[in-house]
Amino acid sequence: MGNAAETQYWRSIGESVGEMEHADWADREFPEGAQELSDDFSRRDFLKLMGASAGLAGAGMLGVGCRRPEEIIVPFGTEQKPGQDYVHGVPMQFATAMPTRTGATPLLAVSNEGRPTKVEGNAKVSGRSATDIFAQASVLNLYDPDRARVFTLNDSPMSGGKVDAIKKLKELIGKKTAILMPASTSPSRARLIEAIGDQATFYVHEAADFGVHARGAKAAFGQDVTPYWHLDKAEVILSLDCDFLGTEEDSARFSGDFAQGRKVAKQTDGMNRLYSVEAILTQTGANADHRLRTRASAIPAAAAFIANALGKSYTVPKGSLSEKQEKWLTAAAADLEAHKGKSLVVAGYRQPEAVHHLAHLINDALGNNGETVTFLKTPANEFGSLADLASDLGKFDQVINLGCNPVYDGGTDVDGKAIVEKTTFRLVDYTEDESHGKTGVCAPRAHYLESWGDARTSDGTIVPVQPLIAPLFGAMSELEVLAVLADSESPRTAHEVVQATFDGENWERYLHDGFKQDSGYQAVSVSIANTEVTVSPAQADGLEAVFTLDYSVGDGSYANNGWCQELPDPITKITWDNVLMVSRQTAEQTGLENGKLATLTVGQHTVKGAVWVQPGQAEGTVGVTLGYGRSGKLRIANFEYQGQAKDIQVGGYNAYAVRGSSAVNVAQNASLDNTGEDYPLSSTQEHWSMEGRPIVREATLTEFKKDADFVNHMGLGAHARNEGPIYQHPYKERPRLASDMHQWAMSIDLSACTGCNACVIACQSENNIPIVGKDQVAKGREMHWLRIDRYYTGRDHNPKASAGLIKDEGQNGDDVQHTETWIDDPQVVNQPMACQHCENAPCESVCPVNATVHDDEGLNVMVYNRCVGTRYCSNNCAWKVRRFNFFDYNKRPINDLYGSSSMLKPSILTDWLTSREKSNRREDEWDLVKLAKNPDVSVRMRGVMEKCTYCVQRIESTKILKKAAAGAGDDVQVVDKDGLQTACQQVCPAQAISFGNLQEEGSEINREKANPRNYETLDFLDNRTRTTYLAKLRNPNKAMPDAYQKPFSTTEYHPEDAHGDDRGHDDHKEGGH
Amino acid sequence: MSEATGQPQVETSTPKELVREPLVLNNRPLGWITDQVAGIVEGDMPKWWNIAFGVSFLLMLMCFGYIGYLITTGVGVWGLNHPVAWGWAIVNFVFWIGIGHAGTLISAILFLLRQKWRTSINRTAEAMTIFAVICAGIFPGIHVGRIWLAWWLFPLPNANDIWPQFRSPLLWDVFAVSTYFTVSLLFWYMGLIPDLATIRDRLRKNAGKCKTGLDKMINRLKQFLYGLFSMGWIGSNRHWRNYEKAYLLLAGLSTPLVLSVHSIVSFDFAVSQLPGWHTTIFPPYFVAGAIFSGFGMVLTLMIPMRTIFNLEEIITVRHLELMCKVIMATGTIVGYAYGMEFFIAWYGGNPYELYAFKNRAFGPYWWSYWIMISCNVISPQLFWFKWCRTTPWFIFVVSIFVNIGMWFERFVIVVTSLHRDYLPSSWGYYSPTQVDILTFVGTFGLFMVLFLLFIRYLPTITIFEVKAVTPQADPHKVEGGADKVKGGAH
Repeated sequence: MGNAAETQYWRSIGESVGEMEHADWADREFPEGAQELSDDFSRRDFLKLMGASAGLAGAGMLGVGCRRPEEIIVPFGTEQKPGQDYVHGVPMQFATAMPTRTGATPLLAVSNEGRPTKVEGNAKVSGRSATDIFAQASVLNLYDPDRARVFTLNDSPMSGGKVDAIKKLKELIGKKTAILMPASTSPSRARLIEAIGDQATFYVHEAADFGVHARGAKAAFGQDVTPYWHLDKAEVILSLDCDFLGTEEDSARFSGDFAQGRKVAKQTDGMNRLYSVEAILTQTGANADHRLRTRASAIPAAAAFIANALGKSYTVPKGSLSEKQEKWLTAAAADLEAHKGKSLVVAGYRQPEAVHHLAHLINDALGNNGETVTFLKTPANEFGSLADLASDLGKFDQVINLGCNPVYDGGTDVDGKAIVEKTTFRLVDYTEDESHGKTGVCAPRAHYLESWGDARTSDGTIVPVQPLIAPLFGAMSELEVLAVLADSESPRTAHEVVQATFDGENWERYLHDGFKQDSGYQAVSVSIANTEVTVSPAQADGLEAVFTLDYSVGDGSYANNGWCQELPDPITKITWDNVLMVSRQTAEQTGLENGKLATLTVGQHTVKGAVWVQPGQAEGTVGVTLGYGRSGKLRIANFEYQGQAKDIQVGGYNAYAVRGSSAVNVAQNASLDNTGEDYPLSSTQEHWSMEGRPIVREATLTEFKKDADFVNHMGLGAHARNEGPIYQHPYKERPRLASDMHQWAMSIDLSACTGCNACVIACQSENNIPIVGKDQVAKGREMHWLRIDRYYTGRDHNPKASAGLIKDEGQNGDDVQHTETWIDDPQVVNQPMACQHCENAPCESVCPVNATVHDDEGLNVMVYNRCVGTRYCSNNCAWKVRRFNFFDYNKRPINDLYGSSSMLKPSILTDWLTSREKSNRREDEWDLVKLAKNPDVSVRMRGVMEKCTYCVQRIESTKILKKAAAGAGDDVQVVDKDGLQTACQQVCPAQAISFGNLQEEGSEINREKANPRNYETLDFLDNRTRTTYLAKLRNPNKAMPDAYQKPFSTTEYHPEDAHGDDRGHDDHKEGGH
Repeated sequence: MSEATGQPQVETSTPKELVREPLVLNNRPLGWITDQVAGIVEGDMPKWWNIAFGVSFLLMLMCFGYIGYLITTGVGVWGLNHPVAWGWAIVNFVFWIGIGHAGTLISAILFLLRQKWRTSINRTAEAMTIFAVICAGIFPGIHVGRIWLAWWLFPLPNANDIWPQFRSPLLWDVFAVSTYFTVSLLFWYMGLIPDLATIRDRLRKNAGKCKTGLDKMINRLKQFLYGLFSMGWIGSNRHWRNYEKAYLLLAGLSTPLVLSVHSIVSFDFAVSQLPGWHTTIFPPYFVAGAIFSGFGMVLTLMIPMRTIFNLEEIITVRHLELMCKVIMATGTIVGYAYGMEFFIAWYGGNPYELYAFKNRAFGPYWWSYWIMISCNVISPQLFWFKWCRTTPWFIFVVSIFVNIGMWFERFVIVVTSLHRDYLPSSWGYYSPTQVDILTFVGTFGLFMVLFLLFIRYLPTITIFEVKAVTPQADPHKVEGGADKVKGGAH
């Protein structure tokens, strides 16, 4: 493949998988001369040729078209072996990994004709096909139109591009150099750093520091170890401000392990119990059986109190805990003690080292170390931080920045501009971001899907980062830069570096499987080396600011990703913005209301953000979300509306502007001042209460053990006489309409679901779902096929008492819910909601043009081509899961949906005639946006309705494969082991979603549907939904001061039972209706 | 005339209260009626007509402009969202269709019931019906997402062999509305033929009075056009025989349509499973509401018209009073339906439905509900008082309230039911945009343009039918019942 190394474009399919016979014509620009090929010209060769021509055509047209990486990459697949031939039109999978701050997510990336379009978790490595939202969204980052495209020197393009940049880089060697880089676990990077040695000093910067886990362990055990939690083994878990289901690193693994203990299938099953102590309502707190809200600064005291309850004697600073809180902690400690060796106390990254230290001591006292938590020998961190660099800056002649953005996320104490001024070489994500410097070299930074690398997962397994596409804009990776610095004479390519690091037996197997056998960190046994802990007191009064990573955009690195921006926060359901979260009482005291702009002051620094009254928030705290308030030329994070919606502000506030390096997580003595201005917020769910409706059905474990059939004692269906359906069921009426081979169905376990949103974004990626922009979300026009409904329920909340009453002068009557007292300590329920695929589908019978119809396999299918857009189907859908294209969301930029400027262009008619592909988007954007699309799913135009299809494209391709494999045989029924999964099911970290064939005996879906917790939402409508839910179970501890006999949603449903005894629902009253 | 040759004893001694007021006042001669009505068409339009036409025309253009913007940009220019996928467009559609009910009811049902007072108002009412249905017909056409494919709602044979779905009420709408429009148009046009012939004849007679060449040309053209549309009517016995028969047949045909159209429109809602829509009371309640709103609009149009064109003697206070009684009756039916909906919501024991109705009255859209109640239930009850139903300006005010109330009724049904349905997670709020509002306002422009043209070019009152109900036309009386003293003889 000698020539292939020089070419930019992918010229043949064979090239990608390394077939040598194509080398002979690979250098020809247009291989149309079929007669020039050798005599043994076969049909297969012809098809390959056609494929190549198509590829070239595409590449030429788009300018940035389909390009294979230069080196040999190895496809993944059960049938495919390394080097196996490419089948035109069939997507290929490649094992790769997405590096994260502290590890890596092993992935299988889907390549469609050389374009990566979707990633899945690599179950071969982690045992699960799950990923978090960021892995799913990372695909879109690859095609971000704002990505830096050219190599620049002193802000002007370099003619030689990458070659010039490397030349320039070589010239920089020899000066006193500081290298600033993001965190990474790459063994190759570590090797190169070692090779560079004293030539440079290295600093690592991450906006969120997770190193406290290792530091806490070092403080307790005196060793360089990192705790590795086994939540699946823990029966009782206490989280000390640890959001392991959300913002904590490796949350997907934790969710999966945690869910293992929540999936109760029969009455004899056990269930884990989660206690959570935290200040802001996190996803972990939302899933807790008992939750204690307290100031973040009181958590060290709480940890010490727990330790004392277990026999230690630390000084608990006076006044940090209230009497009520102490009672709570005492009871929780007793429960932990009752589960010695089967419990786990975890501390979150927001908490200081002392809390982690105490957690280790408590776990030690409970005999959990080695059982529910093991310790992995990890390399010590030997690099300085950004703050260190800032103070050492004088010592250096230059800074080489490998992808950090110190001006944006450096915090208030770091003079990011000074670092920028000294920067001579920088890898940049965006053409112009906050740390954009006018001097030095700026090199586009390669995305992980277009560069070679490696990384270690959280357990240390070495995984390759394999590119699926040649860098779109000729970008460079940090390994390439470091390789030049390590050996300027003959720098090795990243591919060579990684290959050299691998140093194993079978490189191809490594690339194929996506991991190196037995390369994990070593688990070591540890013993307490130090019991000295100083517990700092809680802030007595006033406000404290709690900084938290955003659930959708993280630390801001996903702020320019449209999927992430439009992903509703799992707790607040707000899109496109971050908010200042305060409790109801704090808001009352400070005179704040939802959507008012307030000034947050921390020390001498201030920032203006929108206030959000958050149920479950601790008094006297303000939740401050990182990751927003970006500046620079970022057309998603920072776009401006045109036309009608000009007054819409976008992008939130920059929390880093008030975050000092001494208080990165919790800052004391903050203050909030109402500016009186309004700030529009776009929430996808405005109403918080379930209104006492049995939509999410819940019970406590005790109730379930008494009455396994509790789900059927709720809802209208349980009360109405069953007179039989008014309309005959279509399949019963005409049985020949139903296939006896396949009947698809879905089941969602609400006990396991944590509401993490991974399914939402996986669905968006799989099904080409457009984003619509903040102003459209505010209008209720978001397009998500799958949404997660989040309801708050309150202990003494009786929604029936006030149902439908005018509560406020406000627009939608929901304006006052944030002033109601029941929201202070709510329970939270989540419910993933997508098309229910009703058998008696109400949408189908009202469509005048037959655009939504039923197929013989039980799918409610939507024929986009036939839809004229009467929207009657949406009106008649009880779940409101249908989504309408109010505008041409795919073709129009989100800031100009209303504009008619292009309409008025004189060329409109000719444009339309010559190219139906015409878009209002900028050319560069349109080119890239198209590349991210899944070719198996239609891109919908304006005016049509769309909705969940159960990933029909996946069903069909599985059926086709099955048929192809069956040949003349009749083994064509798709069964569980064929691996058919919907996108949401595949990605779900908690494995809460099951999907499959009801006609397969003993299939997973049949087992799930046989679970006694199985129920249908709105069953009384007799729509016969194919998607059913498994009711949520809670596992409260009777001894707790905040114990409850029934979940709050049940007492909202049966208000008369709110203070009843623990007798379940056997003597069921109708009074609720 | 002396006692001896006077009328029979029994009539003279009829108590004053029992004497029906004549349908045409002041014993006007028959020729006067022709002069009065045909004069409007023949004479020049007053200044106000030109002004009103100009304003209406601009409003109509605005309506078309906004429709153009809608088509080129997307349905998103309206305030629609999830969950409120139908908004003003459907509200306006039902509103206009409702208005279109009075005309055919007056001409067909009242004809079959031998209600002679219909003759003064049926022509205008029918014209109003047709123009209202035109306005209504715009909305379902433009409210769909892909307007250029709206023709797929019609059962046209095509290569894909795909037919519309006959289970969908929207398809029933297509048939119901198009049939109603066609029959109403035919009925109206047929009723016009004798009067068109009258105007044609009068034009011919007046041709000699034309002074300039241009006037002559215009007169010729008019003669030709009126002649063309009067289809050679010469008023022969045979013509009249055929006419009467056909008119009766069409009246019979139209009668069920009056009831069916709005029943079917109500199915758009009643057939769904949405709380607040899914109620069996809808068809009769919608029909009553439609008659209610239709009469409201007839009064709104007719009260100024009778004053401006001095038609008070033909469209008398008695006419107005009778229409007020219809409004009062249908308004009461509508009020009963509102009450019954609430009762059933409670009695039915379905908490979702109960919520939907509580939410109507006390939820975020409470104001629209109470506007509806005060306009539709309270205001027509004023017609229990004779003064209220015999004072034109007062009736006019109430008729405006009826129009407003009935628009809000449809708004309440469409929007408040949709905005909060089964899952509270998807609850939302709907507000119209400028495009919504001005498109609706624009349809009034279109309506008025058509109506003003109607006044300008067609006889607004059925001349020949009114003549038939005058006292003079009574064949059982001497000189046709004309009064020698007060006049009325030829």
